[in-house]
Amino acid sequence: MNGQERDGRDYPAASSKKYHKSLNQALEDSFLRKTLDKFAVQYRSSREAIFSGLAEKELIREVALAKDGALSRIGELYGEFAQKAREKGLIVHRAQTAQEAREIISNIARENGAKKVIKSKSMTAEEIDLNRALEGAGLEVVETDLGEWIIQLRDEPPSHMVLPAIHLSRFQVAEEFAKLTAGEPDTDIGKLVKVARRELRAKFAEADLGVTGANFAVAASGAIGLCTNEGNARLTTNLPRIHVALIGLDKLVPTAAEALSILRVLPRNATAQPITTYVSWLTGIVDYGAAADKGKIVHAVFLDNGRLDLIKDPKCREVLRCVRCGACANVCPVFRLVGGHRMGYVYIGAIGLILTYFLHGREKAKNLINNCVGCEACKDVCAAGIDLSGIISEIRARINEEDGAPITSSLLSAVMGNRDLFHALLKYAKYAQKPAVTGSFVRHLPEIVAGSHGFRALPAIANRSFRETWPQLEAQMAPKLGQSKGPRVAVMAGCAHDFIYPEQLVEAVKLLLIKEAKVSFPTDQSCCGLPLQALGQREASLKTAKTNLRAFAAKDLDYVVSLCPSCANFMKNRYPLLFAHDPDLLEMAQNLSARVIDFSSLVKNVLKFSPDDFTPGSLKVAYHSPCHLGRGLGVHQEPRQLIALAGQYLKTPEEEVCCGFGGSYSLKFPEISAALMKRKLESIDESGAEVLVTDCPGCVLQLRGGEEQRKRAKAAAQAGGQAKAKDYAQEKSLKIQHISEFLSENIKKATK
Amino acid sequence: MPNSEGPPSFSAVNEFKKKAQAVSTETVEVKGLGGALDYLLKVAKEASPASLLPVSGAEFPKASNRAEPRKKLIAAPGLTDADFDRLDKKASELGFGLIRKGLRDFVSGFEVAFSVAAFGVAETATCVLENESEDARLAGMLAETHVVALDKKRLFETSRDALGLLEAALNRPANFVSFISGPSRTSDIERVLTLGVHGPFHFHVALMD
Repeated sequence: MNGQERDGRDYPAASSKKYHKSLNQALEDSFLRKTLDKFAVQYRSSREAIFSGLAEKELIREVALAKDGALSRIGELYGEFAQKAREKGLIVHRAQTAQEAREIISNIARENGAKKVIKSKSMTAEEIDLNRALEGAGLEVVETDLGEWIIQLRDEPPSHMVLPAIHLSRFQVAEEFAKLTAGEPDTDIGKLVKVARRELRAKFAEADLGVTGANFAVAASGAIGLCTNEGNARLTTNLPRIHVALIGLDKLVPTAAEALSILRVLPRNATAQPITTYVSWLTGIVDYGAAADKGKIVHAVFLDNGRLDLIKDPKCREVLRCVRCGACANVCPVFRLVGGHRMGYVYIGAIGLILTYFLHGREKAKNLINNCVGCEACKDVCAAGIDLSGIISEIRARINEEDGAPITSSLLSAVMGNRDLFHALLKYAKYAQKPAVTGSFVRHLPEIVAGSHGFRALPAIANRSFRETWPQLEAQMAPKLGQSKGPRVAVMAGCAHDFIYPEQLVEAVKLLLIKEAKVSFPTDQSCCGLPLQALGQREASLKTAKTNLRAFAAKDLDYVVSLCPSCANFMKNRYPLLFAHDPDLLEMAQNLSARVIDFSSLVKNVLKFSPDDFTPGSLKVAYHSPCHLGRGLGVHQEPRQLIALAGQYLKTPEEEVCCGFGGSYSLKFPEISAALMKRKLESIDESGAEVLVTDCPGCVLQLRGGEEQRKRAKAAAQAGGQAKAKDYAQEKSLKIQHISEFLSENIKKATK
Repeated sequence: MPNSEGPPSFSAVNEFKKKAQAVSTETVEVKGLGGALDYLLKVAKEASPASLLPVSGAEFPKASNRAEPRKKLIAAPGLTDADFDRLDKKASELGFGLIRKGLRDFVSGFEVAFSVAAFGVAETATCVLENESEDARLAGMLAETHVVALDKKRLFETSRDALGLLEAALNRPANFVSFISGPSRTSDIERVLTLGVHGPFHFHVALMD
């Protein structure tokens, strides 16, 4: 498929300009927004229910192990399957490319004089664009999965791997069906389903060739397994005389045991069902009653199409563990806003971003791959434990290396990779911004500069960075530090706290001193490297990471705390992977990783702040869980417990949904970032909370900026035009705090 | 774990019934195959006539030449001759037609099918059918109501407990093994759950002592 456009079909991510236009259109599609919103909320709760009482992570680990085991001996498994299946009368093919697979299947149809083809849903057939090839060979091709049939009638690609027509309303379906039945469109869903049953049953009766995919190919018995809810795969494999199963090589498993392991997770993750209604296992040539003299014909066509190369790619091979459950789309906050047609070329969701690159090529992937906010919800939910977000970063780096990076990201990486230059520039920026600063925000930027980025007010660079404040702070603390018996804690400031919100860090240090921690601030530290990694700037990222390995190498440190969970997560979970190739650096990275801790865990679990330390305020406090704290570091309870200690914690339903910041993501996809932020603030409004506490400077930046912009817009509306700073300063607004500020504000005065 | 010598596991039966409810499967406990066949006739009495809707543009190639009005049909291809004859007698007294062969001629559908499960899985309320013969396979696919008899002694807690049976079934020279857990369903239009898209609208399991 590489480089080859599907005939006549529009690809939204073909160019950056087109992509943004398409994303904006999707954001305006109120049906799509409502549908996907409802889906996201329902999926989350039904999935939780279906996994309750089960060791979810253990089941996922089993799938990962089963798939890894199979992938490590894929050639052998193919040989075993082919031998068994051939012994039982199947004809087994192996296609290296999509083109070869299309030719094999077209030939099977031609040699058997087939005219009419029915299909049960197969993403692999979508991958090779099989329908067009068969139609080109003069065959009638009819999809029989209801959703797949609907989109076939509309000549659209699927917008979800499991729910292909989720983007369509009953009215659109009724309109399409009315063309077939030549009657008035009836929009009753039950009746629409009956139309499909009737029309498609006739197609089943007439077809001479049935095409299916496969969920499993069991090497030990040469059997294939197929999961459906509708039962269409049963009719597809049984009514026509010829059955062709198109199977990705990655679907091979050694025995039925591995298939059953996958089957325990796949339906639960896909649609929150304990099992699909039908799981059909086919082996050998069963009898075929229509023509006693001819008998059944079964072909198994195995597809490589880049899979074997991918197995040889140690960083990305786990992509082939994917069981096509579609959950990575279900939990993706970007999918929730813009739908599947803008989240993959054929495969959809996080895995779609990735497989578009590996199966359909760089050109198709290069705009798409940037449309990941990095919230890791996909990685957290994946049925096979694939590090989806990590692999997306890896692909960005590869595309940069292959294609050359965009000039902006190269410039940024050159600056950030050089600590002194970076810090000098920030100092300069502090003065340069002066005329435009109002309070802690940069004042209204001219439209030509701000453009679509005007959705949130940007924070001003602080007057004094944390590193400039530190010597004074250290001098003040010196007498107390000398006798302290608490743990030795080094502060990793992170760029946002060092240069934008140093006051949050100062409050944090005060809190640490209350419990007698021995606080230090190694001044030769640098950016953690995550922003560079997200831009695909691998070398620059490694360089800053190495700087930090040295900065925090002191043997006597108990903890390295960061108030930014993105820094903490990157240092704790990624540094060891970044330096896997170098034993010395790896040891340093592992030592550092073991000591990195997020602020809430340090305060709650190590320093053991208790109710006695606080005078709880009376305001209702909602919590926003930063992606890299909750999903990244697995810290869920500590910040909530701390809020409850120091105030009136109010649980809200979407605490763990991304705010849309995602670092440079919010600059690349401001339209989506803004929509995510808006949704987040609205959900807090709905809850009646008066304060929103979070644990990450990026989230604070995004949410405070959005709240400030809302305030300005409200004041402007009231003033009938451009509001003055003093007007919007008076507007009531949601108070947004980093947890360090919140805790410090509510600490008992005597303790302080 | 099932034990063909000992009594059936009551916890597995209860689990099966509980899980069946969640997937719109009707369950009933009966005495042996006779009880299951009596239940089948009861279901047939209550079944609506099959839709047999004419298709726009074209007629079904074979089934369309059946004269209307016609008897309700029950397909029971898996029974022994003796069981089939007994059932046929009762069915015809009630005015039903009973068929066991040539089901391909009824591709537009009929009222009820009867199958006997090879084994079952309680955890997911699954009946496992092994059908090498085409008529046995098609029965449960084409009928609008499917009644499956499942021996309580062949009920397993989880699919893993039945791995050996599944592997044996797949090691046969040819086989079509079906895990069935409820009626055919779709949520493809606006994610609204609708039963009976390509397969049966109704699924019944008669748990046999």
